[in-house]
Amino acid sequence: MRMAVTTPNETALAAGRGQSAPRWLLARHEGLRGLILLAPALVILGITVIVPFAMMGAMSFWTQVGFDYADDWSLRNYIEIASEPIYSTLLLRSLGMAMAATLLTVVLVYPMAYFLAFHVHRNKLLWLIIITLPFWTSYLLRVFAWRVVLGFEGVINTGLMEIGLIAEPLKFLLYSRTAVVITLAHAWAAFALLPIYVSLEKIDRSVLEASADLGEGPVMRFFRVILPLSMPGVIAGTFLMFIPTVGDYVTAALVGGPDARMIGNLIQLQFGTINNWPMGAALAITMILAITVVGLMFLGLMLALKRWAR
Amino acid sequence: MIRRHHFHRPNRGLQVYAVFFMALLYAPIMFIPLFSFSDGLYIRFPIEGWTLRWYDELLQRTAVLRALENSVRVAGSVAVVSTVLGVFAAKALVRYRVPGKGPILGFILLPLVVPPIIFGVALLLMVSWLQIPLSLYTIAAGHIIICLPFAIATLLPRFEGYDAAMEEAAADLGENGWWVFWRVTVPIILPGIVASLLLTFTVSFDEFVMAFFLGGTDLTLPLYVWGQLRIPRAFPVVLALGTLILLFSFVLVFLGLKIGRRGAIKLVDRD
Amino acid sequence: MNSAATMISIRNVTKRFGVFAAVQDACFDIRAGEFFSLLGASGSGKTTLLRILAGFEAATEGEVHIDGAPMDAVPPHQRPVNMVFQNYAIFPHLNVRDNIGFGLRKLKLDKAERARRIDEMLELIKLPGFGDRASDQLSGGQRQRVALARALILRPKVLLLDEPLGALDKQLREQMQTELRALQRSVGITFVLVTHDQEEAMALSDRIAVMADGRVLQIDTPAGLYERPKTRRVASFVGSMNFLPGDLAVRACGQAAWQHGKADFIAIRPERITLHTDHPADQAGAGQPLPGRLTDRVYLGERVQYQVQLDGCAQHLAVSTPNTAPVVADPGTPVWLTWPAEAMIPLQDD
Ligand SMILES: Nc1ncnc2c1ncn2[C@@H]1O[C@H](COP(=O)(O)OP(=O)(O)O)[C@@H](O)[C@H]1O
Ligand SMILES: [Mg+2]
Repeated sequence: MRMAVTTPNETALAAGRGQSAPRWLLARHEGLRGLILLAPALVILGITVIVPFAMMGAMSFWTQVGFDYADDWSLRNYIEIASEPIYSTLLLRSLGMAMAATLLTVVLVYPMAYFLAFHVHRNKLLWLIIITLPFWTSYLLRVFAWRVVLGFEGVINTGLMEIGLIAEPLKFLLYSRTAVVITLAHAWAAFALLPIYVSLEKIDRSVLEASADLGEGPVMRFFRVILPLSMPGVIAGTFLMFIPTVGDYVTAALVGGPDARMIGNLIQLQFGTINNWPMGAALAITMILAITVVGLMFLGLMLALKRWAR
Repeated sequence: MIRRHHFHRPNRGLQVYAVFFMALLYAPIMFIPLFSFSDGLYIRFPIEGWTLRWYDELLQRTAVLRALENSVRVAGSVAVVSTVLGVFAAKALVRYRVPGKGPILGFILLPLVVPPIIFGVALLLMVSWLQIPLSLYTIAAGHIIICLPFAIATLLPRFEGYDAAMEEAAADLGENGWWVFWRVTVPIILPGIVASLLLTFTVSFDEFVMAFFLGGTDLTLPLYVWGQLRIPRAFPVVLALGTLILLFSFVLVFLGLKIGRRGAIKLVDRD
Repeated sequence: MNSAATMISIRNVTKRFGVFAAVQDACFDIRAGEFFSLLGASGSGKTTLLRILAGFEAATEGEVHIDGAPMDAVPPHQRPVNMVFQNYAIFPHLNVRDNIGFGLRKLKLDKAERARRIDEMLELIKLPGFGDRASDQLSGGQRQRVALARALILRPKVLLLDEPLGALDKQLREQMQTELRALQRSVGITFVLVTHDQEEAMALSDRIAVMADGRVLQIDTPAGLYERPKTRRVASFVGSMNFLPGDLAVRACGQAAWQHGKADFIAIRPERITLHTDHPADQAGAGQPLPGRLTDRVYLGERVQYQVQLDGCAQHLAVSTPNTAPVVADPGTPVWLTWPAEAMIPLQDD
């Protein structure tokens, strides 16, 4: 078969025909094409995230006057937050409870991630799906489930009473900080698990063989090789879990009592029954700042630890 | 057969722990369906009898059905919008040399980490400032912020999973950008698109915090559940409703994760 | 078909990524019906140049004409060229038939004609009956054929091939080389092939452009490149080559026979050197044989390769003799080297 080269190519329609300037620009500048594709998402996020944040920042310097605001640009809200102990108490308590929940979760989740990374060979994907499945579904219901479990008339109390281990319901179970910490740990566990699993999975198996070859037993192998190599995952998991839990308010509202209130509950109240939006805005911004400061301190600590370990 | 490495000999302790972990993970959630069939008005052991009457009662409530309809409408549109935006954004991030790629991706993924209450109150502030009435639309706007990261995280690996030369080959064979997209890009990333739709639908369907701040008089299902939680007498019906919501969500997410990952694995396996 | 007609004209094409120039000032023509190769080490800019021809990259400077038409403003989907991609880019969601027929959509053929053309292509690539295979059930060689058919079915004026045989094992690669050459003859289309394998380029091409660091060093026929390399880099890239200082080489063949004037280097192919185990008798007009010592012998099957260190200097020479030549002694043996004057290729420093 011979294809004549002179056959007019059926696709070369516009050969040599000029193109308009914008199309030429697009054809030449990849970055521009990419930005245009990104534009819809970025514009929507700009409208729904950046503009509201700017407004929140602005409003935090206003003052609530009756049902109206005075845009007097004062630091009054922040001064109140700094001087009234209730705010710092709540803030510190939120940070503390989030830390406790994070610590609990990381400790509980690490062996599971280790098991998945090193001991599951078949159906790994299925395992991962089953572990992450609950975290995609209703947060509200998962928290509510703990109320069912911990409640005064809940699963644990009535269950223990049924077998006769206790005569009276254990009152400390529900409406306590412990209840909130347990519930938070359970609700956010996947956020800590996934990064740790990924960092363990990434460890080159030949590194383990090398350390065994160099005479390290299983325990020292873990502490000298596996743990240090998985630290990035641990740190990422810590952040992914700590940051959102500081601002949580659903959990405290459902299973926490008065002395388990968190900063999120107060923010919610400012926008609800207390109806002091500028104060709510100032609290939200204070919370972000506090999370940032604690996060940086944690990073600093980790870096110092790393230097010390060497 | 799997290579049995001497480091990976089955470890009895870890196996026991894994079972314990999974039990701890699922047990609390499983009490919801369990007690939804309990005859008693209170959640307590021993369970006195079994009944379906809470489900029956649930279906009698028009408010539930209306909330369901609202949730489906919000979740459906949020899923479509965030998946479409996600396809464009993921393609741009993977395929083009976009300036500031890292920061842009970080910004888009930020809502995965930042407490949702912050986005909720900030949006509420803007919406009331602009005197936009709270409605299902404002809820949907809030949900898009939360769902976009999931859409992009699901779609990015799909774009990374196949060679850009596929699209170039289609252009080389005479198709313009529009046709390349429909004849090559979409079919190849289809599992990712389906997975993204399923996952973002579920996330929006189950989302509470944004809806709490941005909702008006029209309730979504989580808002309805929240309202019922203040009435202890309503618990059995909430349990029934919760069971159905959990079942529905589990199925959607399971399919979404399965389709999303399998596609990726298949593409990687090829070479 | 007029074989002298120009099909592709590359005029002062430069491509920069940022400040890095991947292609620098390429300027040459490719003739219609020619099998043309771009040969160079990895990273030398071959693919970039090919992608400029296909329209996937825009030249930073210069322009490209294909069949007389300027291509500057023509997007890839409107160019009269088709490409076989490095990893073939077989569409994973389509079977063999639909892969091959992918480009036919715009022609609005009726079903029968479309099927006929696809069958014709399956015939051409020797895969009749494979039409309904899923794309992931093809071997490397079969994928390569499908990629060829998919590009050729549109009857392009030029077929671009980016390392089409690179992914195949050696045996299959040699078989495909033969087939590719025959295919190009039978369809008569201009082929532009990118390869880093000089043997492949030599075996297939009418002409070869040797590239290094984004520059085209030399364009010539395979024989021309092998026998008359213009620079040391070309000489060492195409086949193996000995380089030695001009005066030393001239001594070995005799002043009289040397008529090229001054050269910085002399290049000599290993197979042009004769190895003597006894001092050869002086011949009138010939130079003195160069004495040396055998340092290594490598048995390559059809040839035997020796390393010889010349006496009194650090210079090593490679000598290659056919296996039919009497096997010389072991390393350490004194030897003498001679070569004819015409075996010497004078080179300037580059
Ligand atoms: N898109 C790009 N961005 C930046 N540099 C590139 C790009 N494409 C190619 N290069 C660089 O240009 C040089 C030539 O690449 P290429 O044409 O692919 O070489 P070859 O095909 O000869 O191996 C390489 O150094 C490569 O890193
Ligand atoms: Mg290349």
